Amino acid sequence: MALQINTHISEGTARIVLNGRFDFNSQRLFRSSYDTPLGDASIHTLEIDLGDVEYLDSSALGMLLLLKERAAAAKKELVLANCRGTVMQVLEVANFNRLFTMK
Amino acid sequence: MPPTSPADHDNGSLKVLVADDTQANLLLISKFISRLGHTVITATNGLEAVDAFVRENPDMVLMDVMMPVMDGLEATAKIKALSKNWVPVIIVSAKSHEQDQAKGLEIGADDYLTKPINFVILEAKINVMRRIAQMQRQLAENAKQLERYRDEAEEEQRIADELMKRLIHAEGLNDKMLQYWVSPARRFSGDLVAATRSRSNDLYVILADATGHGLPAALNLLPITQIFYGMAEKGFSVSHIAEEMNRKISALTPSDRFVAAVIACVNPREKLIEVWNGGNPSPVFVTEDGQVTHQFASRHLPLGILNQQLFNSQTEIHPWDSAGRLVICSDGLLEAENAAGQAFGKARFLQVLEHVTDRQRFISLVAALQEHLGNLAAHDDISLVMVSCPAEKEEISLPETASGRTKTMNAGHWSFTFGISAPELRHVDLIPLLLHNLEAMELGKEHSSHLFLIISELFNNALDHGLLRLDSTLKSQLDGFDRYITLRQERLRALSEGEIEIQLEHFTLEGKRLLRIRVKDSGPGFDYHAVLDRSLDNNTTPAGRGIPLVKSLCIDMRYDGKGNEVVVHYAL
Repeated sequence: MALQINTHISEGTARIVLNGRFDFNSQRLFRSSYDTPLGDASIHTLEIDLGDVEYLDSSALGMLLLLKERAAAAKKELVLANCRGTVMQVLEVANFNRLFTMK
Repeated sequence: MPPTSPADHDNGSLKVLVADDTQANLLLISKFISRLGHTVITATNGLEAVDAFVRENPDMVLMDVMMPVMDGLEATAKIKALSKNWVPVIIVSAKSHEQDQAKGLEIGADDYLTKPINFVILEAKINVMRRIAQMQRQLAENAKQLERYRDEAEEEQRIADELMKRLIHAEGLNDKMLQYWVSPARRFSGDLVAATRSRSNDLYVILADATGHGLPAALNLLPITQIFYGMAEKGFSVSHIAEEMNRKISALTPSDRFVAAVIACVNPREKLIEVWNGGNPSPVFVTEDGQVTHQFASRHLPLGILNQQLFNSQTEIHPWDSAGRLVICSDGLLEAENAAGQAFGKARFLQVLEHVTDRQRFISLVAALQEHLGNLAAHDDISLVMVSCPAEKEEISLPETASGRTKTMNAGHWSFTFGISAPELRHVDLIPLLLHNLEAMELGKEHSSHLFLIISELFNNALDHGLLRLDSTLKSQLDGFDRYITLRQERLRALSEGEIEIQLEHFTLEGKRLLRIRVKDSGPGFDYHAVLDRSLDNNTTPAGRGIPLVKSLCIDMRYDGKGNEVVVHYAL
């Protein structure tokens, strides 16, 4: 299934919930999902919820890296939430658990 | 490029061709159109209209029907046939029958206006036609641009494909120890498989998987291949190769681009495999009888993410005992999905490896994967490399006797000395640098691997035993090798003082060209008599094999001082 993204904002945290295949084709959609929260001064944390992601490829890892860089520049916390199954395996093989805060 | 029409001007004024054989009508219409801000060209019959059309390239045509020489319908048909772009033709005729109107439209006219002319309607129609013409032009422009993009993309793809093909089918892969299979996908990542032998005949292999696809991926892999061939051939360590690649990719590529890679060095003389794995599935070692005895897990982030301070180049070294194969694959293999959306998976991968005979191992894995995929194309590139690791240590070819060698040239006398102390010893790969200098002296390619071996053996002895005080008998104990490696890494990191000096001296003695190699360390020395007496034949333990080997390659060898200095002579 193509990626779908829903964003929930509460108490300074933007929870960006991804659903479906997180891959090369999601580039534009993913980028547009975090642009607004990054520019919003009332938001201190971005939480990327990967709980319903079926599949994640190396392009998706690249997108996460880019977001990490943007979030650091905007002085916002970045958290990857609900990583499990295949998604967790891919993140672990790439050793991304050392780069990102996981929840 | 066709000439641009005046309609492209910002003010929106058009060049309108008006054809009518009645001067009064011609004047009336022309004046009206001029007042609207457009330019008018006139023609008094169909033939003139066609000529004017070709000559003036108007944006719109108002065409009377009943005219001498050539009537309006014929002229309209000719104009429509001649025009490359869409140029609206409005027929202005006294014939007001529906059949006449239909006939005009059928022949190719875009609209029909009956006389006497209603100028309000004429103005509205001109405006409509102009809007349509603008849309048409926009569409044509978009289509052209799309076509240009597509051509460019195809050209880029073609170059990328060509590049990748050349990178992958490089000569080094035709190695007797190696089998490989690369199945490129249409989409997603670019994989690279490359192999080469170093001077000391170690087999270096890299399997790299870059983010993205097509040209960007190939561009990411380009610096990697250059570094790989350049450094591996010179015998740089896997750690240094990984560091250099990481540095290059970090510097050259945007932050969302990186390269997952396995860099492996298979040393058939010592029966050792050294691996750096960043972000790639674990290469496995499978014995001849089908047991997976070791897996080199990904311990690092892929190349191109961390800066030099944070990058970790630590490798994993695994000695093999009984014969087997090192199996390296890209994630495309494990993630390859069948029609039901099921991945090939690690379990199936291991199961195939464990349940076929050694000779069938490679072909069976490829076959299993192809069966799994069926007729489907894989999403990702799939790469597989197997390196056979024989039970017997590879013997290096011993040099001919000094007298039997051809004298290449009447070389003179030269020498140079390298001194290196603790801080640099921790991270400088000295031997390749030294060999590089030595090669500049044109000693002949056939000596490179012997000299590499001799110098690195002597240097490593000086470092491991002279300065780091490591006990080589440790290696022969059960699990001793891992402890040896760990201890070595710990002590090297902690090394705060000590130095090693290497002196190379070239001279001619009784018509023979000789190279004297002297290695001296600042350590306390050792009892060298015992070691020197051992010969290559009766020594089967993995430890202490280096010295007899050096001895066999040189015409003589002697220790000096308290055992912290060694001198050999090598015949060129």
